[in-house]
Amino acid sequence: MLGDSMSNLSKASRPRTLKQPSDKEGELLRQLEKQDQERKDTKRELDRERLIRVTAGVIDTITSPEFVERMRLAQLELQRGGGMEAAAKLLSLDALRQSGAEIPDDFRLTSRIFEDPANGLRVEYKSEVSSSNVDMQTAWGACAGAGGPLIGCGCSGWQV
Amino acid sequence: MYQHLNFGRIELESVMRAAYDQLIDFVTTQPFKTVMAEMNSLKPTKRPAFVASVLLNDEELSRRGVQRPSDILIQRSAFGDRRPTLFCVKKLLPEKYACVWKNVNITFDNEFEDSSVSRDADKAWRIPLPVHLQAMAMAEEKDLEQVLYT
Repeated sequence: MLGDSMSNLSKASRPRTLKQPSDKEGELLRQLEKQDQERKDTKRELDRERLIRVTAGVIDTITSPEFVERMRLAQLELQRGGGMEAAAKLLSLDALRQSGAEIPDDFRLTSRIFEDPANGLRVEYKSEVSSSNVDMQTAWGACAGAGGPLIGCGCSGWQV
Repeated sequence: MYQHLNFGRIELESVMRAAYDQLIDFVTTQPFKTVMAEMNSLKPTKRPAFVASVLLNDEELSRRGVQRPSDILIQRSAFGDRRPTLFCVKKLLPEKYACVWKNVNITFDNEFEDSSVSRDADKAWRIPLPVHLQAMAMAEEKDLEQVLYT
């Protein structure tokens, strides 16, 4: 619409410069541009081929014999009463690399908890400041993943 | 065969691939993408509430045309490295593989600079924040590294 009305103006009557947006308009424009970018990012991130590629990389990394053996040992260690320190020792990126596992630079390996990890049942959420049933979050595990803001992960959980 | 285990790499890869493919089929449906676009149109501080009221609510998802298969879970979680994560779409692997890996998932994080979240073991292997506390902190635009929890 703006283009149409501008083309109808005679050359002489066209303003030499476009009016600068006010601070409020500028802020609004920046917000709209940001939202556009985020929508584009979502489209890119949820691209099937990209997700297949990212998850293939994760699978390749976390199924290597060295990685799997470290995961098995970490679980055994925890069954014997070892805590998160024991897991961290076995599953640090440095320790894995030293054992021969090939770990990409963007890889992350961390502790993680899920809400209700056993059944996937969700804790009722009443408000942003409500307290969930923290007892349902006593299981933690290892999570390995890569892929940027939207990541593919493999996880293993232990009860502690 | 892996040493000490009754399955091998090809089998584990195949099981994980099938699980990931199911997750990818789900998150690349147009209704799910539309929900993600709706979430991303919100300020990062508003996204935890959106996750709680929409992503964790099958009725709200259904109203938006998203039918969650019963064997795909949508859950919140928290990482030891304190990255600001929002939710994940997860599939449990068969029990046979739980001695090493229990599930695969696709995780959706809130905005963060990769360099701002450490990969060091002493940071990555901390006790994660309780999930509800993490959501509150994100809603209040707090740096999760500064949230005290013991």
